[in-house]
Amino acid sequence: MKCAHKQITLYWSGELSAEQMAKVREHLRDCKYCAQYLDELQALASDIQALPELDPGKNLVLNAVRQIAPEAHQPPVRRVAILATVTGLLLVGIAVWTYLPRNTQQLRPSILQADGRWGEDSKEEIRIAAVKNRLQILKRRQHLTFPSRPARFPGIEKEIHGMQHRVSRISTCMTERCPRSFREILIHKRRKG
Amino acid sequence: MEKELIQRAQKGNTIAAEQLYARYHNRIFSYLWRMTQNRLLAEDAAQETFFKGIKGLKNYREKGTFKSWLFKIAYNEGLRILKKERKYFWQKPVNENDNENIEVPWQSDGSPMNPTPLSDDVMIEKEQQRAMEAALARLPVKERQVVVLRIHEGLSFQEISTIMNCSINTSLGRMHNAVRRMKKMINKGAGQP
Repeated sequence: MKCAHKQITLYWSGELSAEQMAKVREHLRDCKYCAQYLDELQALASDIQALPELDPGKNLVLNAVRQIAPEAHQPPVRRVAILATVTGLLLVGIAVWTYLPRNTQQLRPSILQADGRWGEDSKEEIRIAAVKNRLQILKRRQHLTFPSRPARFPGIEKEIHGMQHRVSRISTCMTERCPRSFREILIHKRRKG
Repeated sequence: MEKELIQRAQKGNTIAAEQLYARYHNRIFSYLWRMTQNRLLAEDAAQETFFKGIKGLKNYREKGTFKSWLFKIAYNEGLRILKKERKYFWQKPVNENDNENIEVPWQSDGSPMNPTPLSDDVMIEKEQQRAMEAALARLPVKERQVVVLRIHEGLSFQEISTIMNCSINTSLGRMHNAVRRMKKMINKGAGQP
């Protein structure tokens, strides 16, 4: 075997096959140069192995874990508080969405005067639509709170009925080209009735 | 035991991940300290190594050992930080007689000497370690990596060549050069104050 520091290094490292190890061992008996290199390697290794491991003085692993999963390392009380706040806010949001009457519907009358302006019948129509809207909300609320009970509001239903009747009377008067005002019509009708 | 920890950590168990990486905490820091020769850079690199290690654990396949996988991350991270600091490129050429400006990592605060009085034996041992550390610090970065990874960390040359992305012959050549260089430095008393 020729002198080869790579083989000696691998021999020292224990990374050769049994056959190669035997060859190097045989070579080391005859070659002072290689034997000296092996001694140096062993001496250096024992000196370097004796070097201490260093302590950074802070937990770098924990910092890395916190960077990745910050919520997992929060104290339990804080975690519970955050959870309770989030749940509370969610419930309040649902309640507001469910119970508060929303008037998102744009009410527009279908009956307009000849010049495009709202007449008394238009206003009455809008009033009916508003009351109907309110009735729908009340029915929905009733259904959500007491699903088993039938959602009936006779007072409001009666009110709507009365209003619808009034509109029909006004509309009839308008189609007959009645020149009198709404108040006058009503007085007239009441007297007539 | 380590396999079990790896499997649990891969499933997202942060406590298992913490336990797993805590085993390599000081080793990775020491390795990066010896690589960068700077406490702050080593801390940054180690922190980033653990962060990437935990985050990329899902991609770890048992092709090599976990240790060599982690040291590959540490090596890349160390190089990245050195490049960022531009020390890698304008590092002074190795001057074996230059004994100044070598930081020796004795204690966690980086101070080279222990301020408390020590017995003669301990003093001699510390002095030898200091000389060895100083000689190691003056090796070229890649030779130093091979020495530390093989001797201090006990990795095989095969693993080192994978970590450093070079051939096994290159690793062996670097080891040979490092041994020669260190012998020369120690003989000249380069590590002594």
